Amino acid sequence: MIDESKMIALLFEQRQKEKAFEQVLMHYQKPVYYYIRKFLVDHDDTDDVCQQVFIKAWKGLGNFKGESKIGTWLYRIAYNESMTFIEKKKRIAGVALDKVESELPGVLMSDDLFTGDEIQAKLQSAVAALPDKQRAVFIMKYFEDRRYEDIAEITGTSVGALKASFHHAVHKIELFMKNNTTW
Amino acid sequence: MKDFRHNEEEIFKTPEDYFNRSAAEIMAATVGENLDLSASTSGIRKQIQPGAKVIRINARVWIAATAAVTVGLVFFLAGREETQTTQGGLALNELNDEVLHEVILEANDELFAEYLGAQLDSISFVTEPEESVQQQNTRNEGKDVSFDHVTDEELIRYLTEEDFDHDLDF
Repeated sequence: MIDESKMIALLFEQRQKEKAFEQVLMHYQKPVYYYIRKFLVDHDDTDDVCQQVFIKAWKGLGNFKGESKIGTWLYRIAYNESMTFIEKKKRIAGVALDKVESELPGVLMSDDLFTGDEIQAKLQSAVAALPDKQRAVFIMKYFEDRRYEDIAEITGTSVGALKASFHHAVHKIELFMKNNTTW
Repeated sequence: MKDFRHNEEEIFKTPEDYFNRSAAEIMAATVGENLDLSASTSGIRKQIQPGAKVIRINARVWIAATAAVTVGLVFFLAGREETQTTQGGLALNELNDEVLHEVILEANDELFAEYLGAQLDSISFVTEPEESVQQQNTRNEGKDVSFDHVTDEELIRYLTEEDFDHDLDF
């Protein structure tokens, strides 16, 4: 466990910030990776976005005021980068807005690095098929057990909107699990 | 009941030694540490060479090249989006449940006031066929058509009850 306030102080010190950043990287690399992986499913995509997150964090250190936790700041970058990545993918592929989401379950099932059992695969497929924002909220609320207030800070959305998105996500996942189909 | 929440490392596997290699690559790309990247294979790893100076030169070339492409792409996409919006009047793909609920849930006083303002503006923009002063006097004779007696509260109540609820009836 890192000492948050001490780490923030070190990040602002010119002579210490490289070492401090390395510690931040070591501490948050895995959680940020898995956070993005649940979004993007594919390892290579996740790898690229995860590296971008830390590179942007390093470059944006000057903008980090230390008002939020380091983790919240990194997750906010990860959320934005993931959303940007998905949007880019949609534009480059020239596909309909919901096409990428509908393809994710297929990506998941053909992923050699996914080793979940049948019920886990079904749940992950259901999550992967959700619209971007609903998927983001569901991942953060259900899998990561975050408070709505924290999710609001990460996504820049109101708590009310998040609750509505989570409600929709749960409902769609229930339908998916019952029918084992996309919507 | 099965808990699916804490087994992400079990179900989402990573290549062997992935995190160590990735951390080394990130450090090389950020603080410019000269690390052994011989095992690198893909992604930004292709751009990274041992040695900070090489990385920075590559980064500049990369940024210059991508900037030109990005500017062109931005203009292209902006033009395409404008065309779609103009043709459709409204980007229909934005009208999903989620967005609508966000609109409702975030409809605070300010948004409501903005909506009412738009309604009031639309009233003032209603144009009638021009008529002469004499015609107006004849038409208005014996009738009070002025809205001066309508208070703001009454107007807001009218708009709230008659229009707003119906327009946003989900």
